[in-house]
Amino acid sequence: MSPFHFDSLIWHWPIAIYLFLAGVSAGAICFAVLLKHFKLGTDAYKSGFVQAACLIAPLAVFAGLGILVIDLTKPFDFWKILLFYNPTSVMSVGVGVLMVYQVALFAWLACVFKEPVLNWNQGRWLIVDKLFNAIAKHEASITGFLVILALSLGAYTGFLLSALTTYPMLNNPVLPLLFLVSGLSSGAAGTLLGGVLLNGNPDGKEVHFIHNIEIPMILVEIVLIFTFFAGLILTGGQSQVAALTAIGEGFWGWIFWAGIVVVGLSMPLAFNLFMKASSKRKFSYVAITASCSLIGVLLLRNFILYTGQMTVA
Amino acid sequence: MSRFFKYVAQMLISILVVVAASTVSIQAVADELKINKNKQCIMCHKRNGIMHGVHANDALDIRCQDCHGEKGGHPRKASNLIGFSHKSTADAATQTQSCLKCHAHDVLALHDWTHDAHSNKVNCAGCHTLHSNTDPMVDVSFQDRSKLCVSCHATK
Amino acid sequence: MSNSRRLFLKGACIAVVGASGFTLARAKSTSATNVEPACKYALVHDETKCIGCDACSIACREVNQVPEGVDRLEIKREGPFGEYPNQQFHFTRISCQHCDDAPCVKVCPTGAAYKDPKTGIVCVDEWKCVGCQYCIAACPYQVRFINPVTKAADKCDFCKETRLKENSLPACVSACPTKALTFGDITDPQSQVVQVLKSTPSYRSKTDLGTRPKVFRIASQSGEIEL
Repeated sequence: MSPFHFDSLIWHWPIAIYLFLAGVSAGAICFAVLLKHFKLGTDAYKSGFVQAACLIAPLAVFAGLGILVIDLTKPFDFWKILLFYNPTSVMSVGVGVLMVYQVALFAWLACVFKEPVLNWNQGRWLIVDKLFNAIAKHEASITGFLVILALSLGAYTGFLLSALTTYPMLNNPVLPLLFLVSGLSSGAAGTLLGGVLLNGNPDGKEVHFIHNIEIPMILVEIVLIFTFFAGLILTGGQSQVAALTAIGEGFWGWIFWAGIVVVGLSMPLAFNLFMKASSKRKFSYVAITASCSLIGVLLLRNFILYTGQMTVA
Repeated sequence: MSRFFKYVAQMLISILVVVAASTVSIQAVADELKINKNKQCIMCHKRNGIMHGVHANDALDIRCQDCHGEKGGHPRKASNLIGFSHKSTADAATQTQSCLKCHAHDVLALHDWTHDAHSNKVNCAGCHTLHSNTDPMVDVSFQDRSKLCVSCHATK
Repeated sequence: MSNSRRLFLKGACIAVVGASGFTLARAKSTSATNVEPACKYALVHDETKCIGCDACSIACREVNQVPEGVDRLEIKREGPFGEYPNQQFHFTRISCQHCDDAPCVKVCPTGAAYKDPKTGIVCVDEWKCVGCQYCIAACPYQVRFINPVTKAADKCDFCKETRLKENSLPACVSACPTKALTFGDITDPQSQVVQVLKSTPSYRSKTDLGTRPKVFRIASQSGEIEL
């Protein structure tokens, strides 16, 4: 079976990229929120890492939506998805979440960057002052909603696939959790990589804070991937066939073991353990660890999407 | 106007000549083939016995008797001659046996699965024609092929 | 600050639980209060009578203007079984199963895939379809495709827009030379489909997925038993 062309393949790589970008966006904004609330406070906008996360989150979600729209067979009819609503469709609910998420995202960005924006404005336009002050008044609620929406978005990327009864490997309750956690860790990696590229201090408290969360998250990811495949194999039947085709010999087997397990999970974990919490971090160290993580998650999305569609119930 | 007609007339005549010539030549070529010089058969079957298709090829060196069987008492007395059609006195198994002497059934199956389904139960001439220049089954369309199935299988 | 945050968290949790509960409840209640359709069309494919002549698929393409390269209806051939000269083939109909609980209808984000309330036929609203292909992936029978002309999802609709409108049988049913196809209303005890289904053992494909397909099959004797 050719790895990129087979009869039961319906959704191609653009969908994997879209799922990846949605996860990155949700993860990045979660970490921006955490950084602001636990480490940086009102000075958050000065940190390169928060700036990176605040850039990545909207850009990733726009790029993802763009890819999704272009991938439709009728791209110019995409507005019908927004107009018509089907409560039983994961995609329809997900589009709703995405829309509200973007509103909450921009409201929160307004809260974070209120100070620099108002300074730049210098009272030239009264409406800007009024708007930012009005939004900032509800910062607590906006933050809470944003986190809930971001987590929903991360899980939605998994539910989108797990709703497909056709494919036993995708129709799996662990998938949304796995995609949520890997999405968060890709958001963390994106934030770190973007942060150091935006001249953030590679040995700053933000990096230490994110790395502290990253280790348990990678461990959880490993447990989830193990549960995912162990569950499929123990279910037997076509589920077992699907799991063994995916992680067995062949192109995608290599992607899984070398790309996801070694590069995406083991290497960042090893780097993190290798580097004691106290030791000094360098640009190259942070950038390489984050890149490994990002590559791992991108490969995971493609791997699950393609191998998931290989075996039909 | 009259000049125009002159051209048309000339053209029509030349087309007619070419067509006639080619028909005659095909006939002439067929007559020249070894299989059609078989005096024993062609003496009487000049009208309905001339072989035009691939099977007439000299290189194959097929005689009428190779497929139809030896003359025996034909035409006055009894014979074991095999006719190829559903009207033939020979049953389907006997008719197909004659073709299967050269055409292995597993090779036929590669060309079309219906060879396996019909095997020795339907005569080959039910679908194929051999004496004509081309066998209609060679380039039969998907639709015509289906119609051919329906022509036998239709239930009332 | 911490007090307001706690208050907010409580509020947000209640909101989320409420919203999802409402959605679920509404999804349940709409399916429960749905008036049962006036009739429910079903099809029986008698594999013992099928000869694999493709008359059905040719008629389907003609009547429904199905472009070349895609199929609403296909006959899959398996075999030969047995030894020459006594060999048999097994033919399976590949087309929309018109599930009573259709996965394609559930996943369609715009409601372009819907079950016709009058006939139980699973249909596609060409205009509403945006071509996300979610339904194509969701169909366990893999019978949906993107129509290269309309760019919308397409599949068998029991000739709802063509033959049924003229009060005649679906194209495949009337084209079948061996009368292997029986079409009719399964809620009518007098209908021919019900008579056939009551008198002959039949099976349906992938019933374990809970899709309740309305295409029934009468198994041919040829071939081995697949586990």
